[in-house]
Amino acid sequence: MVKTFKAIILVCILVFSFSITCWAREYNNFNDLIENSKKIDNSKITLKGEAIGEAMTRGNHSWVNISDGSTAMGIWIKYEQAQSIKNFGKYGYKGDIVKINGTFNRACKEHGGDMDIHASSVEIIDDGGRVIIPISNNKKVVAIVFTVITFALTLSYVKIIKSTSK
Amino acid sequence: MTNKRIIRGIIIEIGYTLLFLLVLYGLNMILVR
Amino acid sequence: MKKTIINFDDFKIINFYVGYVIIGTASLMLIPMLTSLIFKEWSALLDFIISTNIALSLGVFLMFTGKSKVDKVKIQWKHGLIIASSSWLILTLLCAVPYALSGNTKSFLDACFDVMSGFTTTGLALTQDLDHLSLGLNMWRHILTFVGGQGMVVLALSFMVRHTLGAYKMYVGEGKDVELVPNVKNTARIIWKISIIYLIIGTTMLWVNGMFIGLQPVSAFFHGLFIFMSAWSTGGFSPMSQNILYYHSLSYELLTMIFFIIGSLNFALHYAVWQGKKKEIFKNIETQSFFITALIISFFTALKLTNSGVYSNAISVFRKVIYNVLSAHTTTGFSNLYARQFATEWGDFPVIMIIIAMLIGGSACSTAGGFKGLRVGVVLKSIFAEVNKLLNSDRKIKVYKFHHIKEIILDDGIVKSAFLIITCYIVLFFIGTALGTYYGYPLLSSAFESASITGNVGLSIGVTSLSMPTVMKIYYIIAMYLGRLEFISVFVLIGATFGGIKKLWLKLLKQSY
Repeated sequence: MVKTFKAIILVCILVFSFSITCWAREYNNFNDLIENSKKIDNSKITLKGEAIGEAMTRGNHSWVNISDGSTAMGIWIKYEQAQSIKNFGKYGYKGDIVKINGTFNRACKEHGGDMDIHASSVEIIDDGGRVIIPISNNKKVVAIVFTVITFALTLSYVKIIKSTSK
Repeated sequence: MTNKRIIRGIIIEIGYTLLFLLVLYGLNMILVR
Repeated sequence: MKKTIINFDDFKIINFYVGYVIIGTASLMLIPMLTSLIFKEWSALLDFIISTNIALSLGVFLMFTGKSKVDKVKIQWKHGLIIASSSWLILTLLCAVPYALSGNTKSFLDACFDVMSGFTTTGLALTQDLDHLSLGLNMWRHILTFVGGQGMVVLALSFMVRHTLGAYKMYVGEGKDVELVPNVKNTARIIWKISIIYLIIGTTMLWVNGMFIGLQPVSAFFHGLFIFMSAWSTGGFSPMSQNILYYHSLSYELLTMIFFIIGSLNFALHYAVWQGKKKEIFKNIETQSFFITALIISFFTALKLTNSGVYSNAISVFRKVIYNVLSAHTTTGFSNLYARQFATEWGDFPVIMIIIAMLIGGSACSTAGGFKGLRVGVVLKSIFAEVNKLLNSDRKIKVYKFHHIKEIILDDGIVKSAFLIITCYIVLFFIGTALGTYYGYPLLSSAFESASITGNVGLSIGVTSLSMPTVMKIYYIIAMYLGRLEFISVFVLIGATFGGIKKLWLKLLKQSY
């Protein structure tokens, strides 16, 4: 009886360890997706990135483009899932970091050949928000000084023109 | 150039461009049967 | 070519008008400045305040040094060419300042690269983190490409110049050699009128379509404005890093296609059609040439890509193949593919087709680059004419003509200049390709990028990047500049500079005796 029990547990462990390796590969560098697009076409992948721009809603679904810092990928997700993303990256704002599970398409037939991912699950890993962009004091000083110089130059030029044309 | 001419000109240009694109699209349809 | 000699009076005239052009361009900086102010982008606002001041001060100073001679010395061709070519160089440095201050470019060279790319309506970018760029800087990038398309010189001319005769010489220096109307100031005004009217119409159409595809009203407006300016000028810049792929929209892509095709047409053609001569669209050698080459290249590229299984449905072929072929042919540079996809998915034959499309380019006297359809048409017709002459008996002398707004005789002078300029482009292309292979890039990739630069296109196969060797960045900047100005004005600038230096040197030697 104990032997069967041990065997069952062993089998369960083996099955489990194999299925872990079949889980979706996680991509943090989107260039890998592009370089290996033919290999991973139509397969399930996981990727993480910052939501940028805005969610473009088209009927029941939305497009959300997410960026890994240098490259961005288009994700086709359900409208409700898009609603859960509150922050999008742009100047002065950091977007939510989302984790997407979905099917990668090298040239999606549904979307006119676009390289995209049809998401099955969307998870917010990290919230985004406002980012304060620091301005160095040097910049402020230089800006004021240069403005003064320009005004002075322009005024003297105008004065000289007026005096020579008399 | 009167305003009417300008509007006609724009419509003609956009129109012919669309026609050109349609011809190219027709090309695709033939290639991808 | 006549030997050009420079003396100090010439310098003063050149200084005056260069200063003039600088002030005109500096005042453009007010637009992004205002944008940053409205949207509270304080850091960007300061960047533009500093940049505008530098440019205005320099402009005023240059005008000051030349003021005394402006009414006394007559402007000649050499002045015009030098003013045009040197303005471009100085403005490249000045307009790079906002980029450099923003921190989005890794070096001042990268900033200059982007500016030259904008001015020449190329569209390759080394600016980083486009997706988080300030609205002000994005406004600046797209204005640069919109204005660059019309030519900075034409810009200054249409609003400020008083001396019409001098104005004509500056305009031709820009690489647009068709006069729409005898009076150059009027020609400049008309070019601007056509562009502004399309700007309003195009931005509105893209704005509305943008909202339909899911963009918010305010951002849809800016996307529309930026994308239109980029499409019309056949530039290729986009406010987002994914270029046109960001929108994932057939309708948006269709609109951009319409505008970049129309934008690549000769301004003289626009003028003729707007005057009521709509037959011009069919009779013009450039539209005929474009139609034929676009059709042939699209057909073979699509054929290969469908056969090799890269794209399988009609819409995909239209959006991925036709779109990119036309974007290449009109030298726009918009793409809905990632740069590396050309290398990893398309295969060699389609890449070669794109290279050919990029080199042939668009129409003359437009914002497009490349050999230009006019020259390709002239060359093809002249080959046809030559073969015919050999086949026919010597007694018959047939005069060959082509139609470009008016009937023009295909004489040897025209054919010679067409072959000459095409040769210059080919040499530029080959040097760029060789340079790429020297630094280890694959042959076709080097050729692709070189063609993109030479034709001021903007499509990339992945070579243009931060890690690109500095020598290549510098060569690309020079090549974009030469390609846009069509060589002659730059050669005159070089000749005049060396001529001037030689004269100064001789003067100094004489004085020391």
